[in-house]
Amino acid sequence: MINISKDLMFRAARGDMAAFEEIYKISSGYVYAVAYRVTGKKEDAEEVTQDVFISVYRNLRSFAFRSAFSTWIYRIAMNTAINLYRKRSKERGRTVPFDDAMGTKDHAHKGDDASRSLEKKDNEKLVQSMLGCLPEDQRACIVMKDLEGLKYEEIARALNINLNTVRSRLSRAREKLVSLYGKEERP
Amino acid sequence: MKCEKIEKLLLTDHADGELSPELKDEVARHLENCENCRAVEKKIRSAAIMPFSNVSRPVPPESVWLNIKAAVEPRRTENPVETFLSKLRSALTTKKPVFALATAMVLVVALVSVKAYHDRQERIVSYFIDDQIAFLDSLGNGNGTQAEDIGIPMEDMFM
Repeated sequence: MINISKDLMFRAARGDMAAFEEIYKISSGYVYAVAYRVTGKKEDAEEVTQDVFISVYRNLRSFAFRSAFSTWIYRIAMNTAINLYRKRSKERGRTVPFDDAMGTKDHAHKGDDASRSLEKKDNEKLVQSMLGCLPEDQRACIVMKDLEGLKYEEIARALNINLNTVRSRLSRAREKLVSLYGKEERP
Repeated sequence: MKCEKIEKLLLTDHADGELSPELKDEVARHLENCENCRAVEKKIRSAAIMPFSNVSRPVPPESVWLNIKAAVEPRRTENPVETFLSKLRSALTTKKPVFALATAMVLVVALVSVKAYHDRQERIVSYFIDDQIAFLDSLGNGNGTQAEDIGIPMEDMFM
């Protein structure tokens, strides 16, 4: 969960670039991950991350602490990512296929044995494939719940929907995943 | 609780740890006694939940931060006019009473100066008119400077 102090935000709002860089270091991983899982493309995730932080920088002065910074940044990230995904789908006239997986460079850890690395890569492919078959609204809820570990209430606030909508989107998404992947033998 | 309701909970609140303690116990008791629901739970976990629990968080490349920095920094450092206007705006909004007082004082000084100048001009014109009136009067009664008696008759002056 993103945890940014008020002092850091005030300093960044006054134009302190070191403070803003600190905010970026703390929260960019979350933003980039959400963007990548929603758009399915590394290039699009980079574009979304840039747009989100430029927007955050320009709006820090007007942030009134009515909600948590994490809720605010998740909302901007999710909206920006979904909008870009829709734009790309419209440009190509169909649903954008997801990348199979992130490059092995991003995931291979020194010391991992080959079979574990391969298993991880396979799982990464599977996750991308699973997310790619869901509509954006259901995908957003799955990403926030299963990958970001947010609570229902936090998801509802970030997406500006009510709790039962969160439940119904998760339920429909999982039903679909079970129907598509439930029969497969997992390694 | 019926299996249909249990299955709904298995897809959401049960899987995500959002059940109240009472409901949690109730679902647990149901699962102990219902083989069908246990199979459904296993399927949901393996097909729709477990794959997400084992993924790494991707990290954005360094170029992303450099692009963001390049996009936001010039707003503060490369445009002196914008910086000056921004400071001026800030000063006007944050120190309003001080500026209002200073403006009022400048206005009072300006008004007093204009009034003093106007009075002075009026006095000069008034003196000039008085002077002229006095001069004309002196011409009229024959006591003017130029008509002063110099002691010899006018005819003798040109002879």
